[in-house]
Amino acid sequence: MLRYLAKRFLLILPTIFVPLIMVFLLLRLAPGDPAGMMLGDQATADQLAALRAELGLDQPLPVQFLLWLKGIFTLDLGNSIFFREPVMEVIPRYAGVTILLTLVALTLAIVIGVVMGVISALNRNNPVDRGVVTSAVLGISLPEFWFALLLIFLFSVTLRWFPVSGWTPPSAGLIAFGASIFLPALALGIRQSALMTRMMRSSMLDVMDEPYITTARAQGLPERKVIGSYAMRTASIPVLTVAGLAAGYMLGGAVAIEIVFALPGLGRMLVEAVARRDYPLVEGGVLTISLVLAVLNLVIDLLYAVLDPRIRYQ
Amino acid sequence: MSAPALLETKGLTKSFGNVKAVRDVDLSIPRGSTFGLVGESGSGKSTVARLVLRLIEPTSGEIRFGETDLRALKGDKLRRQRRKMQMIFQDPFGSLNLRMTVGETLTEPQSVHGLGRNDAERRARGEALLAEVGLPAAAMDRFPHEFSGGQRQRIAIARALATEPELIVADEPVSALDVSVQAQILNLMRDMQAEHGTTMLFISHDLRVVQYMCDQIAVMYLGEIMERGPRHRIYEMPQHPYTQALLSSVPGSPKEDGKRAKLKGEIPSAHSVPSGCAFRTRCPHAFDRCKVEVPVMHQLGEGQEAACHLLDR
Repeated sequence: MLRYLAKRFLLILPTIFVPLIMVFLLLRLAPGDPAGMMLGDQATADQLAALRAELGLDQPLPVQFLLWLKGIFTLDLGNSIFFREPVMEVIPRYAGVTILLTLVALTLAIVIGVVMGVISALNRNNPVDRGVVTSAVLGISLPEFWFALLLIFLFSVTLRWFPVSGWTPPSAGLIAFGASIFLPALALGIRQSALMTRMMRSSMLDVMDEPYITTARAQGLPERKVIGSYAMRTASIPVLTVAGLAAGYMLGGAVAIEIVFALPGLGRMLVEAVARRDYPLVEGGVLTISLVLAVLNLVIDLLYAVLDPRIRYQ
Repeated sequence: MSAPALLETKGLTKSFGNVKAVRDVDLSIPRGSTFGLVGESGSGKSTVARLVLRLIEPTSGEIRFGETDLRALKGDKLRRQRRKMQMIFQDPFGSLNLRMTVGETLTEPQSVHGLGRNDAERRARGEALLAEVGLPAAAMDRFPHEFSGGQRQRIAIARALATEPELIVADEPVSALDVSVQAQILNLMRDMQAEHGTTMLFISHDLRVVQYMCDQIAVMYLGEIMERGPRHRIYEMPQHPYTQALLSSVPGSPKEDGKRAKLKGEIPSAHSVPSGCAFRTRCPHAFDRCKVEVPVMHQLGEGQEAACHLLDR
């Protein structure tokens, strides 16, 4: 098990290497350069050249990339051009918001998806099932920024249950934190929860037809146990696969949600950093998101073994 | 009938929509005996198994288990009754939860029904059951996929015995197994029955297997019982044309001679059961009356009965 973990952690490196190269090249292929952005229209060619040299932008691309890679291994991602402080200090201020938002959204999506899927499957083809399936189709079809606006309009503006926007960290109290993160997380998670609902429903229906479910009933197991520990456990496995994909989707989708709800997260920071051509900060942000996604996927892979004890990692 | 019946059904009927899968089935299974239910696939025999175990709800009819009216039981009472009636299914792979170790599979029914004082005791009983079906105690911590088909069916038998049931319903328990393994499992089931005095409802399409296992036999066709009686009567002097045809189709049987009664065509769909006698469309002796009148059971002595107009003559 430990060996497996070590192996998986090492495999994260090549996994995140590809997005790093892509982001590095894309940024430099895009028009505009950080020196011009910082000095403005009045700057002379000499001033520009001096600043470019200071930022290391006059070096050939492979040299710049290797220098940056070296920085990653020494935990030095350079200085943000805009903030004029180390990237390693800027990113944690924003990353926490995005990671918490993604985790809460993922949890909400899984809970809603599993519960609705099971309810739907147990009420197969009656009005309850039809209602759930219809809402799921609606949920899949709604763009989340639009859903976010609807949520704000209903719960914040009309009912005044939640704040319209803004961020309260968990350190300010769990209730305030919960109130500020619930709507953004719901908006981010709803689409994925709709996908999971459909997945859970069909997977439950498959499992409920399995002979071992009939056997479990015939043996006199309480129905609660037949559904809960026999059927749901098996049926959750495809949902877990969807959850892995959803995690990546949510980390990316967080950008729109952070902008709608004015959350100081990594997504919004990245959009602004790209506009400012803040190369080190963009690279650091992408590195962080790639790392979080890789770790989340590792956790999900390990959860398979919890649901299916036949899976043993070595 | 020597012993009082443990399981009795009267007029047992099950319709799925307008399809009558089982019609007016009367069974009476004496305590401690093995009762065979034979028929082609589609004859409704598996539906009877599910009905008597109350896994599906009958449309009408009675089911009695000893003194208990099974149809009156609901919820928790029915659940507790299940301890006394266990089953073995055809597919030993599908009927075991592949995510549970053999040990969990064998101890769970015990703990659900409050048998054994603690986990250690239930585990010890699980190991004893494994020994009884010829598997080592080391199998307790392994998963079903690590075993062969025959071994898995042994596990399924051990699980069925775990709650000390009075009745075991075995639905085609060996038809998914290799012929060489079938004999081992059948012998094991006979030994189990001798040891525990369990009553068994044994369902199969294989007449040789039923002959080997059963004291009493009923032959089903399109959801109805055509003929029933003690084993020697059914095999030595079958009276119903369907039973005769089934027996003559067994390879190597004495009835398989020049004038063997061949079965024409396939069993009709349960959607369109023929009028009168259900078997008339394939019966070599069918005549006009068979089309209009449903034959009644004729008592033929020694408990043998058959439903055929030919027996009126």
